[in-house]
Amino acid sequence: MSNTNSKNTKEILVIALKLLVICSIVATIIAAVNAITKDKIKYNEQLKTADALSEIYSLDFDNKSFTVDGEEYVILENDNKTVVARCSLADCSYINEDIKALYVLKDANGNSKGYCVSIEPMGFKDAIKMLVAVNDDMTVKSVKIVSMSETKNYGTRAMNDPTPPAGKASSTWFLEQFEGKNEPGIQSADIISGATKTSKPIINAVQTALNQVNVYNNTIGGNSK
Amino acid sequence: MNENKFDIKKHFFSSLFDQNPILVQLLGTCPTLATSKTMIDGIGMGLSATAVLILSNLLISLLRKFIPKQVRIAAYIVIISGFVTAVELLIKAYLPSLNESLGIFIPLIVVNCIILARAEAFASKNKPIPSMIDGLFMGIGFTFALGLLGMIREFLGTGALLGKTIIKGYPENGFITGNAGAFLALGCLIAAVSFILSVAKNKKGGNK
Amino acid sequence: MNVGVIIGIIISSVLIENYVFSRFLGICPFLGLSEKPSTAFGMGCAVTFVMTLSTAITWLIYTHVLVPFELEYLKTIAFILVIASLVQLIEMFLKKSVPSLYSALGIYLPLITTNCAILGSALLCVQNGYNLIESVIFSFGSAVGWTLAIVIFAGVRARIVFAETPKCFKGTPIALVTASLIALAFSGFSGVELPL
Repeated sequence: MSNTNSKNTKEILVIALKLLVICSIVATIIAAVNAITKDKIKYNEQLKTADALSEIYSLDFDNKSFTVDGEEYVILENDNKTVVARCSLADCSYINEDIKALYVLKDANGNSKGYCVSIEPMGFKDAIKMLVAVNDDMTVKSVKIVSMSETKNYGTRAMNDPTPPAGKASSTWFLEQFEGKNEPGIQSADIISGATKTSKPIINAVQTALNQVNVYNNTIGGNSK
Repeated sequence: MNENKFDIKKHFFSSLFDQNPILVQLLGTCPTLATSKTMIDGIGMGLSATAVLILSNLLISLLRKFIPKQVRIAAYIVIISGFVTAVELLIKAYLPSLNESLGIFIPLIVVNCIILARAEAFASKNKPIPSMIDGLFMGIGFTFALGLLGMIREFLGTGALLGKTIIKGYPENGFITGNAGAFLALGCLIAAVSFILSVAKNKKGGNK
Repeated sequence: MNVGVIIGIIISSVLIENYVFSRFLGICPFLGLSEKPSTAFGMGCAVTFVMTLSTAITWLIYTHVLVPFELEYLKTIAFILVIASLVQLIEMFLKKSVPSLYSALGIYLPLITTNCAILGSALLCVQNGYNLIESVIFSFGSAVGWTLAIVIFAGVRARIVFAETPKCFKGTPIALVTASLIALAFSGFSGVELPL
């Protein structure tokens, strides 16, 4: 009896060991692939933000585009690589967990050109990745959606509304309505009818972004840390 | 199973037609329905699954004498999910647009019954090279069916193929590109294939 | 967490974004096993139990083990191992304690592991950034929706058997065509606006 018992334990041990070997082989393969692809995956994500930044600011900088430079986004001027604008990560604690980053924008002479908040509120189905650009006078410069996976023809109308309501000029009216506004203007923004669960979080996010910039300015006092 | 008589040509055509994983064996229907909206998505999905199929068949065949019988399913799952993760990372890095369109169906390749079925039915009993080839052919069969379904849905739904408009001014059809159309298209395709196969069988039987 | 949000999640996961008819998850057992409504219901209950429990466990593992150690890329492996082990444990438990249920479910029980709905639910909760309570409610609702789909389908299929279908359509093809009609009906739900 005890012979079969010890034989069983030995069997189980051997099986467990073999499984462990298999797991280790697989884990090594994955770790290797991860090491190779990690940076490229992060870069792909950053490219989306760079494109959104370019949409917002390129007019101010001779239609140049932002490129990714580590954790920052830069617009280069010419072959001497004069940095025309640099969007650097601000060193501060964020007031809301939806805020992923606060960028401070400076041109080649070090003049402040505004701020950009990367915020990801929860929409109807999924997080909406947005960029809120704020001017130095605390009004909203522009709101861009980097990516969203909301319901087609409802939530996606935040980016492109094929049938804008009366009194609205273009299909991108929803995001454009924030431009130049500050707090009271934001709170009274129009929602997209039939897409409350997408519109409201975006409106609140713009407000939060503005608050974040305010907090940053008050604690830092305009001097870089 | 006679390991020496591996008839490549026969295996290729059977994987494509009478043993086609989706259209005949009816395995892996979830990703088929979800990723066949356009031809390029379908082919992308098929090729990703083929990559996993080849790699997992290879590793499982190499380890076929090492894997203990009692826990073989668990071992297969570990190996398959390992390669799925590797393929997922590679797609995220080098083909981000494919990642956007396939979504969670890339990690769901793990539970794609085709891969587990081939591991159990073939890779665990055959040498590495034939197993890789089996994975390749089954994957091609899978991709072929996905491409076909994607082609039908994209063309009938939007009048375009591979993103390029073929029929100008074609009214976009939400039914075919939508969920209901997926079921309908797949059902009709499977029926068509079984009809063709039965005709071919009758012809063969008749000639004898 | 107010009742409105909970009801919203349940309605959206059962009807609006039904796993079978909207998200195409869990189709294999849906097509292969739904011949009798009673079996289908039993299968649905088993899947509901496994899905809810496994989503909770995988969420905990993701949030407290994978994320702190920056091992998010291991989520596919971790999740499927959790699901496979859970199904194995349930199988052993049922064999000893409720053998009648065990024999009734038969081969369907180990097949729950490869049910893409379960892995899909775990992945979706993590992707959508739900917290633990939302994840549990979402997976429970999704499983109920899946059970609903499979029971409806079993009932319809039990009738189709007696209908005259062309030879090449018999079995799975006509089932798929029927599913497409049901999916069409369900797509009517996509316009439901939840006033939350």
